[in-house]
Amino acid sequence: MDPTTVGPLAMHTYEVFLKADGRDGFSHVGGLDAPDDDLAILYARETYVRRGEGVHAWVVRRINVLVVDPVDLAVTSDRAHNRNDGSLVATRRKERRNSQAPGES
Amino acid sequence: MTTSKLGLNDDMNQFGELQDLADLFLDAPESPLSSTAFEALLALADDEFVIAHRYSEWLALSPFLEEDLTLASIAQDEFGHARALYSLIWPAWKERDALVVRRPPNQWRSAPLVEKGNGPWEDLLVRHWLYDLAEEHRWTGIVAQFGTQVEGLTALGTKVAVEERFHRRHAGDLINRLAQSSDAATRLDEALERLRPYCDGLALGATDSAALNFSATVADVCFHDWATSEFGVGAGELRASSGADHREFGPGPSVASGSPAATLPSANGSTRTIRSSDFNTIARSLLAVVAFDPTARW
Repeated sequence: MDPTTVGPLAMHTYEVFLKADGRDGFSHVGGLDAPDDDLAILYARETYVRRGEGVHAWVVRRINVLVVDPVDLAVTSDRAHNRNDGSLVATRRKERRNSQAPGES
Repeated sequence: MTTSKLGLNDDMNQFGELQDLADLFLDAPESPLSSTAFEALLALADDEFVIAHRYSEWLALSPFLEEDLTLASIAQDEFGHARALYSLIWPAWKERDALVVRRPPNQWRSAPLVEKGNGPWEDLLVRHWLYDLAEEHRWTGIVAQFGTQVEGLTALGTKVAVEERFHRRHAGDLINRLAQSSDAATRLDEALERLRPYCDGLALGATDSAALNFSATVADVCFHDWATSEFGVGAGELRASSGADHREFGPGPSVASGSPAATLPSANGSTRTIRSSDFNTIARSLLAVVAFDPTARW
């Protein structure tokens, strides 16, 4: 039996999120291994917030992260009509402008 | 030369086994502090410096990366505390690195517990726990005794207290976890037995009753019974939330004559001039660069 995977000394993987001071939200900064939640918080501080990189931190056990099936995401990859960046409108306005004779409005 | 059970040499004034490095040592300058304040602050500063040096010897060798990073961070904290104390002891001295590195052995005041060479990792962890448990009281005591006469000491003590609380939490949380394994608890108990004889050398002066009786404080500690002990799971947090984040030290039982601890310095300050044989490796490490190139500057 490997004591690092089973029993009181088993290690768990955690994901760390930091929020800097200001209006930005939390961002994922990396992961770490720890034997329990108390030490995970300590290790997060020493691994990722040694120099004031954040004022708030979330430490989440990776097993508690809900993972979306990539197959469910793949069907959304070709939906150009859902992109709301205004490029289609800009292209059409440009085409219309170019097709108009000088002086027309 | 005579050597005690703990390897304390009584001829270090003549550099002992460091005789070949005699030309590299520089006497420390005079300090403006009173002799009692000087001895107490230097004892704490040197303890902080040497324990940090011992931690640093474990860098890149810890059991896993996160622990390695944390230990490095704690070592940096302790080096910082030492540096801040040296600046209070010798405020006019600009080259503190050289001052620390090149002081002759008899001008150091480090305790045998911190000078002791590193053993297996459990020894490092148990020493870390013992040292930081005692350190809380030592910082509180030294600020109370000398805060009004040493400018900057009270402010330093306030800053240090925050970092030391984290150090104690780290050692305690890790032991909380390890003590749940019987094999690990056995290794921790064996480490504690190796370190017990060194526990009473941490006093910063004759009035430092807490540290003078420190071995009594941990006399009942057994890592197999850790969870139900006063130091066990959650005990630290409970003490913190109740506003009493430390146990009260009583006078404690006197050390029996002939026990290993009885061979330690009497902790009245003066005997801290005696170095243990393990100090030699520290001195040689600190002097390695200047021995290679006496004109080197950093």
